[in-house]
Amino acid sequence: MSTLHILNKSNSDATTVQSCCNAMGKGDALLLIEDGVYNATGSQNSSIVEKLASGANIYIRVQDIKARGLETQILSGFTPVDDSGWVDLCVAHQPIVSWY
Amino acid sequence: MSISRQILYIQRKSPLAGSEAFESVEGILMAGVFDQSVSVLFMDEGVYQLSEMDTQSLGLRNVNKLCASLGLYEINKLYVSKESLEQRGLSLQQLSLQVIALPTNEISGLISQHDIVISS
Amino acid sequence: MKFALAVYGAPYSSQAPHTAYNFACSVLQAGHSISRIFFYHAGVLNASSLAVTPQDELDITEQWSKLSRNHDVELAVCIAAALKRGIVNKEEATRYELGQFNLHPAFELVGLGQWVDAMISADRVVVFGK
Repeated sequence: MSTLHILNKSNSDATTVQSCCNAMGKGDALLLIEDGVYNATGSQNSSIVEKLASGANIYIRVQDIKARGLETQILSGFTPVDDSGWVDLCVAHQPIVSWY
Repeated sequence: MSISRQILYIQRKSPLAGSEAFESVEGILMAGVFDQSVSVLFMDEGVYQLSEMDTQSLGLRNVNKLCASLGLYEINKLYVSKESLEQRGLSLQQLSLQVIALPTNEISGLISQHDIVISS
Repeated sequence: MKFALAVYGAPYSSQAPHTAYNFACSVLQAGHSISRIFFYHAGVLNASSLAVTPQDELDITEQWSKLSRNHDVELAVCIAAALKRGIVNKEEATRYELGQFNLHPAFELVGLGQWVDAMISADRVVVFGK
């Protein structure tokens, strides 16, 4: 079973973002929550965007996007999930690693 | 204890930024008490937990000293991110514990060998 | 599936309590169970009964309490992390000769071993960092 990574920091904590990206293996999934969703906008120049381009499965928590007013700024290719989708991701992956 | 899990602890926080680093190591030792298969990976600012410290003048507890007792709980699978060490100009010889230096491209493999990953 | 959750963030310093609460509700809605929610580090502040939440915000301590009551989920607070941050129950107040106690009655002070026990007996473990 592959790993689920959960990231809650924007690229202003670039070390955490980079460490999370570095720890992703082939087939792993990444979920961006809380301030982590800022990495999915074009303005952050985040390594998450490169990770997405390399074919990684990256999910974004819709509640956090809406709360931050980012609906129109999210780059294409990220998969939005609600919390029930998050639960499904947890069921489908093990272990689960939180980067914060 | 009948259940045995492969648990990886990832220590990423600097030793004195709040008491999280110290409390996390207490958690690691407890997993040792429960006879679990425990590994620890020190990375990012967490590598400083492996440097000798003198916190007495601050009136705070010394996480490095607590790390020294990992072996007493048979927690011997200790890793450090090679890249995190190099970025900080540190070498294995400067660390207070015997740890294995892990290249960045082996971190995902280490994680995937475990059932539970607790990062702090 | 059986989940064990750990909340490391405090209300008003981190989004972790709210994220964890919403996630916990979704876990239960999906028909899974949560054996224990463990409050560690500054997360112990979720258990204060003395926080007064502004009227237009969610009272997270009360939400945890309701969740625990309705779904029989254990709210476990690390005793060592709690005492040093001023989260105290009646017994500990007596032991340390403190004038007050403030642990919300839905929460329980427990040792770290309770968390390891929850972790190793769960199918999935999720940590909510600050």
